Amino acid sequence: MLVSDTAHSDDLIRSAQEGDVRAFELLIETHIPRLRRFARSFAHSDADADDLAQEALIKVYRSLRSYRFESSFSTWLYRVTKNCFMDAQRAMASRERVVDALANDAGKDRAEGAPSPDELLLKAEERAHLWAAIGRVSAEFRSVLVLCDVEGFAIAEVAAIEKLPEGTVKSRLHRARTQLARRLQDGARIGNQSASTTVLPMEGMDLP
Amino acid sequence: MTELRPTTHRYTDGPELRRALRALATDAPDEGFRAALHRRLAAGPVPAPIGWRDRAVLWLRDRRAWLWPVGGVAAGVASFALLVVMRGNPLVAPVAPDPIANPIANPIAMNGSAPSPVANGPVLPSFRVPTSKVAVIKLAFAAEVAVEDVTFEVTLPEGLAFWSGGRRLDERSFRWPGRLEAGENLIPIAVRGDRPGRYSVVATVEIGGRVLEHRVILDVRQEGT
Repeated sequence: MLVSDTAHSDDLIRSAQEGDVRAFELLIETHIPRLRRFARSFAHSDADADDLAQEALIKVYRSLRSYRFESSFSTWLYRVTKNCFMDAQRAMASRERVVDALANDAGKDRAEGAPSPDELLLKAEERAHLWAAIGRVSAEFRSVLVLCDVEGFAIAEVAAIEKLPEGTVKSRLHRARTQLARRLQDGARIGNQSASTTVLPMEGMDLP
Repeated sequence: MTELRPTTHRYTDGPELRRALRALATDAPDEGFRAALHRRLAAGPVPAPIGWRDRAVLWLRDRRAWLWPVGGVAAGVASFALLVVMRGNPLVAPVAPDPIANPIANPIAMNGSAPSPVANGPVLPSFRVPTSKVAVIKLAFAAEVAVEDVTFEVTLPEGLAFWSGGRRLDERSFRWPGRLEAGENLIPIAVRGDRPGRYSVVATVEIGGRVLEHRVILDVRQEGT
């Protein structure tokens, strides 16, 4: 079901503000995939991202009465969740969690015509690498990058979410792209080095 | 066996990078996300009521455009009263102010004794002025941010008159467009009572169709009473 920022969604918001969980779920239904990806840029893995997204959505629900219909609900939603992500990232900054998300994908059954496990693994590896590089972009630029370049929000929408002038959003987006390109180049250099280390012949090992 | 090869990231800049980023926007399988979220939402508390502090912030934010000028008027009148009390001695000022275009600096009575404030209820500030003296009321409109296109108006009742250049003006009211600068905006008016009585001076500022009114009571007394 599609719920847009209309009078209908206003009714849902009011119901949700009174504690109607189902109304809240309907409100956020279409935003969940985007919010999970948005969370991904602040997390180490898909699993962490889902935890983060759920935490943020619970906070959104509990603070729902502070929404006063001054901006669109989606603008408010992304603003609140982004603040939750930023807070969580600050709290997580001192601890590292290493979760090998790729291992989960590697064992799945292969459907006919679907990419091979190797292709899937490589694709998943590239996605993970790209998310990791995004995660190393400065936090204030990262959300602009994800909202614009991953999620396809317009500059004006991002400006409303971030409460920034459009010019500042454009500038941040440019700097975020530059930072991301640099992180990817650094990552590629590291990747090449580690790969060359991996193929060093060892006694008794068959190399392709 | 997976071939060991270096990770190649061709998209280090430009359109390829943009395409790679857009390709990240694929919906992940639900994997129990919604069910887990539902359980947590249903188990947790309902949306919290807004605390009194947040309510106050929201209330002030909603009224920011006109609350600050109103506060400014009150502060201006209060500062006038305070200055009058502090400066008990009259100051003979040679200036003959235009009430609108040539503001004077000191909110005092000219050519004689200063008006003295009288306690007259909590709402309307009241000042006692002798009939023979020109009193200058200095209204201060304070604004947190600059406000364009406002209209000021000061109206005097019968029995009070504007004074400018040492002479009495016939106009009962002045109205002029302007803007509020961020910070304090001072509007002095020089008035004199024709005859004893209690008079209400009305100052308004119109902001975006909303008119803010402030009244000051002048208690004009016969000299020596």
